Amino acid sequence: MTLLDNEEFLTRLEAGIRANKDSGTMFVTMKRYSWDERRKAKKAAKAARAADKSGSDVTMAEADAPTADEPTEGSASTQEYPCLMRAEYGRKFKISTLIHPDDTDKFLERYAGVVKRCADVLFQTTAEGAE
Amino acid sequence: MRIRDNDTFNEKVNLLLESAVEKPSTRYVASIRPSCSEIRLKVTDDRVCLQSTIDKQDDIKRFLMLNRAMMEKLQNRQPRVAKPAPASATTPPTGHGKGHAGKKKKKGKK
Repeated sequence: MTLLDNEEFLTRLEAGIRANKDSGTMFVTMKRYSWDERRKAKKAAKAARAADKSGSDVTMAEADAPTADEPTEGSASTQEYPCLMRAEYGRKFKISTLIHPDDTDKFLERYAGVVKRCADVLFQTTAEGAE
Repeated sequence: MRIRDNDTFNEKVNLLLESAVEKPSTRYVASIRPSCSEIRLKVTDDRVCLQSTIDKQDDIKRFLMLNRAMMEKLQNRQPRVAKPAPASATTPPTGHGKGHAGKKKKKGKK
């Protein structure tokens, strides 16, 4: 899976839709990217457990660190996450990008432009059938 | 579960995201099929699956609005506070006010 920047991803997505208009399906998936947060929580929990086993003093930061199972109370409502977007067509065309919360508006505007430009490709059958 | 009514689909998607947005398996999938002239939408957390279809060009606006709503919910995006406008740069400098500041008087040669 190739991780691209937002502009490159949209360019390749549009090219992919146009190139594969006759058959097949393009899958565009959107997910929350919370891998970094969960990894930090696991590391903190592991450090706390290791400190408990060895009997050494646990620092306040380690003791208060959230575990993987316990979500943080104060930050859960305000924590923002990047969004992972993937586009796949068959086995050979697989691209992805990370959209940070600050770049969302700009990305969605450009994505809307791509969808509107490809609308004639997407709905070509109905246009020909109507004629 | 395939849902034909747009309002029902949006309502069920909101309910699903409220309960399952923190799960790593929760995702929104748009299957773009130019050969069939349709876009299939799916929101799932691997337990509940909600599906809908867009097969008219007029519904593209609905698709784009749904994309925006989904992305904002997945990111847990907080409302952005508009920054106050910066103070204008044309404020006059403070100091001893001399009416002819900047003007140089030429001394005549004798």
